[in-house]
Amino acid sequence: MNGKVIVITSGKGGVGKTTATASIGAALALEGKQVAVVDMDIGLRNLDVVMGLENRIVFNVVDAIKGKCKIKQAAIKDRRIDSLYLFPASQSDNKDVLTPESMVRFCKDLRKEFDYILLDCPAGIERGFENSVAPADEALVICTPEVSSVRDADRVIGLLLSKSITPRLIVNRIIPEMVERGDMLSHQDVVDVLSIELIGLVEMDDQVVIATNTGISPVLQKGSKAGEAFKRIAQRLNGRKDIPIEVPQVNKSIWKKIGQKLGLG
Amino acid sequence: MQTNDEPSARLIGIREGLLLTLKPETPLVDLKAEIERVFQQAGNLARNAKVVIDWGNDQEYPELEQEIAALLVDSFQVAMVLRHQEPPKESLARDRQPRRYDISRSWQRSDALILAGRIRSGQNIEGRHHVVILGDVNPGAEIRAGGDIIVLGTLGGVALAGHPENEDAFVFAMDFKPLQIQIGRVIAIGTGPTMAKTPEIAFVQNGLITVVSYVNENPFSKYPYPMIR
Repeated sequence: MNGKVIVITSGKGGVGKTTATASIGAALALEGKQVAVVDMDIGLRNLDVVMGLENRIVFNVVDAIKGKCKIKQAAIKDRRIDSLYLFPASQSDNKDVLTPESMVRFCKDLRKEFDYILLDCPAGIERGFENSVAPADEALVICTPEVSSVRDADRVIGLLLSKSITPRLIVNRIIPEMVERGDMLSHQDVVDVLSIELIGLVEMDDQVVIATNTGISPVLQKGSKAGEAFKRIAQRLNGRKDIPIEVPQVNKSIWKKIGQKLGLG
Repeated sequence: MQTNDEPSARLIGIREGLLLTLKPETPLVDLKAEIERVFQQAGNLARNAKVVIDWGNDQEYPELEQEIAALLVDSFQVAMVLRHQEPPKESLARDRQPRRYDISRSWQRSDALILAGRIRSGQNIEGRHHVVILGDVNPGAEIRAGGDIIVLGTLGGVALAGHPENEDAFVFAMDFKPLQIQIGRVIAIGTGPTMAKTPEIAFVQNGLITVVSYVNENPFSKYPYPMIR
């Protein structure tokens, strides 16, 4: 097996990198792939909580890289999806314990066992970012429709391009009502500035908050718009180029729709 | 033929001396005889005079000219023999000077750093002279130029033209939305997001940065002749 290493990054914090990593990882695993998700936020681990696996951690990614344990010992199997594994971050170390070279070696080993290795990159463009990007074949940049997020994503895209990685874009937390009112940047505005290939649009979804707290991935929840969007992103990552990018739309009641048809709305 | 009826040599007085109009198709022997005839008529007027030969067309006859010049100097003691040329008019001469400059492509070099592509947040472009960006400059990017900055796209970042203190520089963008503009030592802040995409140009006027619509104003169209920037 020769797995693909994909880094999920954004520059800015709090835009949904960790949720996206967990969700895309789960969706890829549901497609029947062997998937490893690696929390690269050494010192501030979150991915284990989002996946509901925090009480199962014995060894972490730093232990595995430093040789304190075998790689298999650090991998935590997901509770619901058999082919999904988590490599949790260390909470007591800081980002300097890892080096880009050690990450390249670690991912070389992981490639033999997994189809996809998703790296949840920490916010910022310092050591944690360097460590996460060094072994990556591909990159997904997460951006919310906010000026500050676009600015940071732009910076990160520049850095990725300078390392010969062509990233793809996910616009997260779109609120269609606000976009329609003109209070939020549209995904088109974001793409115009960042000018990279779009791989998916994710709507703001309350289910994600519930999923994060319960540790059950949104892709396993029926009717979760974000979950569906992440599933489509996973399929596109998996080579299904025919799946269209769905633009989040305002849900209108049947009476409003009829009213609009009649020219009343 | 009509031409045969006319004399093959005529001599008239002009301001600079004597204008000798000759027909180049006449055989040299006949021409010389005719020249001797007209100069004998002129008598002492020809002595030490400046003689200008006019062949009546644009062509040159250097051998004929040499023969005739020798004859005139030996036989009639003229001071000098010249070939007729259209006298340059004063105004034309002044006009022609820069034109020759244009035609001969002898413009002195105007250096520019020309980049194609998107300049992203965090990227700094620095040019010693002019900087031309074929693409967009995103917010968070910075362009610094010793001369002018021209962005054929959206300028969303910071533009520092005429760095450090050339206030004659300008900043032009097809879609002008900079965060901040600096020309020489004059600073202006952007006006915030606008939806309209208008080509605009910024320059220093009375110590302040002025931004005008390029389409409406086109400041360079007022130059009567091209100038090097």
